[in-house]
Amino acid sequence: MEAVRPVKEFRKQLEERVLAPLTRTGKGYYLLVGFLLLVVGWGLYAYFTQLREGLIVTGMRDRINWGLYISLFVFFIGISHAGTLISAILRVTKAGWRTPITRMAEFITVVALMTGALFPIIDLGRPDRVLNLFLFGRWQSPVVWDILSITTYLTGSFIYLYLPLVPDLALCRDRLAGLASPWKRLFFGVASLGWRDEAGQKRLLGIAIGMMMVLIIPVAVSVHTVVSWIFAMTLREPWDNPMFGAYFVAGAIFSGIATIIVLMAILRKAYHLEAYIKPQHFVNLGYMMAAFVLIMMYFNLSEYVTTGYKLAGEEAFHFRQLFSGELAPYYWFYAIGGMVVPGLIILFPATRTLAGVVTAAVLVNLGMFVERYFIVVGGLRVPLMPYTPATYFPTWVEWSIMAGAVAWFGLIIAIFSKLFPVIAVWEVAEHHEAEATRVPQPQAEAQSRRYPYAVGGGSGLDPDAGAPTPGGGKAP
Amino acid sequence: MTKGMAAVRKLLVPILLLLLASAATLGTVMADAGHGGEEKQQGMGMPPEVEFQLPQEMAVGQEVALQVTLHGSGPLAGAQVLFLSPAQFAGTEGEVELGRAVTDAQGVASLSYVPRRDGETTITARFAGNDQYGAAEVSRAVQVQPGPSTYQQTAGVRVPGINVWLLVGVMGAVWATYFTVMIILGLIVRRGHIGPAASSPEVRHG
Repeated sequence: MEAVRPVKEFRKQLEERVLAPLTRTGKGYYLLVGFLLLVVGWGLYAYFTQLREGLIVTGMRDRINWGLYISLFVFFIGISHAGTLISAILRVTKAGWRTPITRMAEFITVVALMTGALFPIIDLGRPDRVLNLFLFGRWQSPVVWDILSITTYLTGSFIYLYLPLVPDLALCRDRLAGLASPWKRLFFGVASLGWRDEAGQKRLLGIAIGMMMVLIIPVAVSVHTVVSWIFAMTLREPWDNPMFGAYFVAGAIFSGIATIIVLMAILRKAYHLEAYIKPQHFVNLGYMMAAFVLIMMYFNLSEYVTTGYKLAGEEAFHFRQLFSGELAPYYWFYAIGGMVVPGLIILFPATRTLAGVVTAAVLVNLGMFVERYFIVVGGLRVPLMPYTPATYFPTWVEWSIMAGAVAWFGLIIAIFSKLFPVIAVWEVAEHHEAEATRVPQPQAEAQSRRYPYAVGGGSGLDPDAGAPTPGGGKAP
Repeated sequence: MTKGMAAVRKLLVPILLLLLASAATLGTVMADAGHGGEEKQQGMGMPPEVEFQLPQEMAVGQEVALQVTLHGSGPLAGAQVLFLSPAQFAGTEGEVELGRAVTDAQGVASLSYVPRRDGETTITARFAGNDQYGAAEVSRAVQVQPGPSTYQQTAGVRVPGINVWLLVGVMGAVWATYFTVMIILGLIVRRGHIGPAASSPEVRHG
């Protein structure tokens, strides 16, 4: 069995497979986009209802004045950490197996930020009041820090997504000259920046990617830290937690990994990328997710054991509502469904499969969303004075806007997948070349057993050995 | 006789319930009437004579005493007096209550007050009236002189170097890096224009 396929043949098949979605579109894609547009339209109708009637159409009132919108803001900003972790951290650490999944992670970052940043504006009720932050904002306010960090992260994420795209856009420009529509050809021509794969350009691009991959990590960490400070710097007992920054960053990376696993599974299936995104990639990400299960459990234990031991001030009320009161179903779903069960799925070899890891990832995402919800609502529900605790439940307007936002997230990803290669062709090819030149042929088979995720490797996962071939399969 | 007793017993419970309901209704009606009567009496009598004494000088942050004396046929004791001042907030205009005081045996109600804003303002003393006297109020314009700020910073530790310039510095460094990356992209474009002619796609990417 051939361990490392010839470089040129591998590259040819890779290009064919990855560029195919950019030129051919199946009926299923249009159906999906149509459905997502409908849901986005419904969400827009709900938003216009809110604009017309005011925030009274939501479940938020004077005592609980943050609800589903702010929970979604925190959730989406959280999953934007996918790009940072998978792309930047793994690139910095030179983890070769990352190459087929970095592009998707970077997509998620940009789209999640574009979605999440809408929610504070939606939550304001009157979007024109955003201007007040610029007219009357104070540098000392965490809200202003939040705006600064999110705009900085969004800009950086766009740049970081774009830089590794340049060689692939040039590839699209050259390969799809007679296949793509005129406007796409124009786009590829302009966006590829006259890339000729020339040594000087490669060196410059390497420098730029190097600068951004180092910079984007602290920027991403700062974003979720500042998001947590919006809560932690407010005088509310349940949010009065010095660990909130680290807790939020860990939670963000946790849900980011889960989101990339789910998206990988969808795109892999939709665009027949089984030859490049292998079960081992899912398992590797599953291990990382399991590590964050432990970190999140540790944070939970550390927070609730210390504050629960003292039960100072309003903590007693918060404990009751969280562990046995109104918010208990949410908390226990998060603790068991969002941490324990996914952890167990990854722990046991029998369930540590592609399907198992994807199931665990879906549970983690649901759990993390619920966690955001009870952090926001639970914090505000604790009475500051001796009055009856308020209750909050989102109305149809809030649920509809949430559905619209999720559909918007999916829609942008779907559109991106038709504009850009979802796998970084040049990175995967370079990694394959490096593997091919580094590993002498006689040793390749043994090596491929050690690194079954090596793209094009001749292990049992090799497409030539039974899995769908890169050039085969249905038209996406 | 026994039948008669049984009939009375049967009727007893509804009768008692009816009586209770009637008593409750009657009590409510009487209470309402009494309350209404009292309200009616308020302002029906002659208003008392009101003497409003304000200090000659008032300044922001300086405590002063607002004194009102109510005289009817004699000093009016035990009457509540409201002290009010006009205010504007978020596009709404109205009167803000500065405080309340009750007159003593000499008919004097005194309120300790600390002005918080300088400039000209009006202070009103209002007596709502009681069963003997009608409502009365007196307003006086006063000039409040500027004074030290009433806001006292009680919390916070100044750490040298931790200020807005640190934030500006960090943000500036990040955006400067972005700008540098943009320049590098410009250099890539430049090399694309001046570089050697592109070979076939197979060579460029193969």
